[in-house]
Amino acid sequence: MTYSAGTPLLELRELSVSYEDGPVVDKLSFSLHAGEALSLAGESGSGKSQTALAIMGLLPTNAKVSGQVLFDGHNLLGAGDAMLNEYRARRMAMVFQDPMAALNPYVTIGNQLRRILLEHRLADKAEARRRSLAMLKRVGLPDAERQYSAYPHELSGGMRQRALIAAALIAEPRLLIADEPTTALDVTVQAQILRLLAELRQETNVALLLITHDLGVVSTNCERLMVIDKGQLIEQGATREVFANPSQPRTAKMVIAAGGLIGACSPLPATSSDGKTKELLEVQNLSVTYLERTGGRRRRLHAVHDISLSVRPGETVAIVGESGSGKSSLARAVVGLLPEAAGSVSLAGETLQRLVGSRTKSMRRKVQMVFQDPVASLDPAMPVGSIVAEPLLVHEPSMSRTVRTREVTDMLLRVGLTPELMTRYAHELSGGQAQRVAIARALILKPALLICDEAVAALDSAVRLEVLGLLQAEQQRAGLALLVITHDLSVVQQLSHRVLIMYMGRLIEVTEGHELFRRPRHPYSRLLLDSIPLARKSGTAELLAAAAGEPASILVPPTGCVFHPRCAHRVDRCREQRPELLTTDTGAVACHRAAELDLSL
Amino acid sequence: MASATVIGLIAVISIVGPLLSPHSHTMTNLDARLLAPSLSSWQLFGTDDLGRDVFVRTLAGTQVTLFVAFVASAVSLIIGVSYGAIAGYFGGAVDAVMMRIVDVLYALPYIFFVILLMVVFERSLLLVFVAIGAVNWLDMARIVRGQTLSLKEREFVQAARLIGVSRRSIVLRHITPNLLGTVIVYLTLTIPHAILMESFLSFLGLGVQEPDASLGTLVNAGANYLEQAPWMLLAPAILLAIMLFCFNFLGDGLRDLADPRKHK
Repeated sequence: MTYSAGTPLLELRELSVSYEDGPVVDKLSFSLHAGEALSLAGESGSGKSQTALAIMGLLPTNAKVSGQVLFDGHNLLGAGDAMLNEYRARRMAMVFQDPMAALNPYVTIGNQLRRILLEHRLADKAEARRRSLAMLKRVGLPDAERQYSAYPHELSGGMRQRALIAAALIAEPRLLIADEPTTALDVTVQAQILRLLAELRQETNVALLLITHDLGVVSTNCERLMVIDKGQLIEQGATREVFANPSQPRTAKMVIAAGGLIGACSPLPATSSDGKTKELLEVQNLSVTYLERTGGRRRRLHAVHDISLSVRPGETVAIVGESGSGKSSLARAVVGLLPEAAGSVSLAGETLQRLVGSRTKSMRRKVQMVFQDPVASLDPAMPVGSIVAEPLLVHEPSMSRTVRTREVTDMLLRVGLTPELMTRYAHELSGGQAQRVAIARALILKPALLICDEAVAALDSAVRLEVLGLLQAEQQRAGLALLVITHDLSVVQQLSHRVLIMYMGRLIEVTEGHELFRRPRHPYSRLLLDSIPLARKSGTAELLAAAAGEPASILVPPTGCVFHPRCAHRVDRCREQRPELLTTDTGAVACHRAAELDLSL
Repeated sequence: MASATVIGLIAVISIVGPLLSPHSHTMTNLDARLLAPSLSSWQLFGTDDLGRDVFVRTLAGTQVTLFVAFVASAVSLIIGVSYGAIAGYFGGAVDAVMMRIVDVLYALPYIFFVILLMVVFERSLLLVFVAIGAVNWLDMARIVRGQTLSLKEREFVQAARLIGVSRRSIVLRHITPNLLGTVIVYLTLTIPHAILMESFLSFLGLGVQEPDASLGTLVNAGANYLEQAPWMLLAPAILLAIMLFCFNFLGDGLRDLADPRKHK
């Protein structure tokens, strides 16, 4: 894109936003020219979303704002609603993080678009309908005529985000502000949406202000990058240069977290690799079937389909899959939270009861779990000290109070928290602190196996690295085995000895951690790798295009290979016959064409 | 917290006041009927149709009313919360049976239920407590059950199960403290409700009987002499209104107190 001289399209002059507790945006100045793409990156709480809201004039009334927001030279700050409405939609539009929350659930997709045109008197009714439909087609909504009259809940997450982008662009704005547009989406869908944004930008020459915490998202879309922290600009420059040579430690951390410096952290060598060690956890033929009631009819939903796996002491096994792949059901079945599970789970040779309530105390103590949402997994009415002490209260009732307090203090120090936090409540902690507390609670019983269900997904990228490092340190210290459930391949890369890839409730590939990144065997594994925004590999575009869809409904799984509708390499056989999971030299793969395809990176 | 002070003050005055006044709430004086309020004879709210001191009767009525309110709330709190929490947490068949019992009790028209009680047993103040308590805990049980159902799916409860915390301890240590906010809010709705119910029953002649008084019977009596002696209605009615008002504010205050998120 060319930088036009003249007035910038958008210019911020010393924009400050503050609330009672203090400033959240502190004298931020920058400018954006027509057609340019700029990224505003920062961790949560850095003030990036507040900046976007200030530009759009959507800040809550208790916010104190000063400075200037110039759009085409006109100051929008302090302008009345009538004037702002002239600008919103027609000159600048916004795409929010959560498309379900941003779309009105009672209005059909088509009408949400049409109303924008009618509200701004940009078209008559028939014309508005025609343009809305065209826009939906343009953003790649398959079967646009049908989706036009669908309600938001009938669309998948990726489709909703496409619809939201369509709504933002329908009135042909000159500036598009996208606030974490892909954070709520699966990796393969994220890749598609980012590509769509890039295409639309080329076509319409709309300027893009992309707000994100994930620098990986930036790299493919924006020429210029600004990093803010605590409301202040700490670094800016051409994206490529900032990536190559970040001047601030905070930026460097974010670049590492985005996978920009691959190999910054890698799994420890497995404690024993002679193959003779006894398995710690053995799962055999595990299936989970939910009964789903839809409109009076009962249907069976096979969330997990006949999966067997094993984990050795001191080993990290990752289970990777997108939402709906059944990975969380698998984890919950292993720990004994799912009455719907069938199959056998045994720990160190001893068969475990299906439900945690009927397992023996000593067995319960050996398997612990860390949940995805750290704040939700801590009792809001209990101070941190009691939360971490509770397992001891249950399993070592004879322990004296002083010893218990000392154990809790030691544990908190070990996970990198100060003992002063003991009197705090969950809501007073940051996400990273809360997750450390949850880890402390799980580790205080010295379990043999720790199951992490998306344990770092809700954390900022830099905090994510620290928590992963903590898990690794614990593994080294105590020979802890980890079963990591994740959708994020960078977590796999940093932590895992072995990887299991799931798609629609089935295992489709089992491989070694480093092998996955060099030579994936299943086309889906390759798709996941290509979806990492920073995988700057050639030839990825075609593959992504072929896999443009999203997973089929698990209620009506495709015939044959469950992945075939999205697969670039499918043949007739894939549609008819379900592939078996066959052993390879490094694991196993379920693909008819595994032997002939070379998917190496 | 001003509300708590006002309620406390009313409670203290209702106990101490009658002791200080030269008059008694049952002593009639037919020569001094329907006297207007005056300071000189210490008849601050005047006298009623039988010459009894309205001030003392109002305070005596307040005692009864507050007592009814607290007993009814205590019943609703103890039975309602434990019943609801157990049904909600254990779920399944236990839940189904327990909640159907509540449904059946709910379906009984409660006025009919009270009249039946009055007919079968002696009329007594105790019966009023039983009647009001028996109705109030049903709502509480339902609300608590609903809350428990959503709480037990929360991750922190699952985390507690994985640690090996027993079901009983989960209900006591994790579920109940988190119910507190809702329970308190609902309780402060229950107290005024119980007061109104008692007043209503007494107004109908089913509750507290002459010569004893509650705010309800006093309002009833006052309504009959509205034109000759408005103080007979105004004194108990205003006091009742102030109390109901204060309980509602008290509820909001207590809820904030129970919520660790509101602490600074």
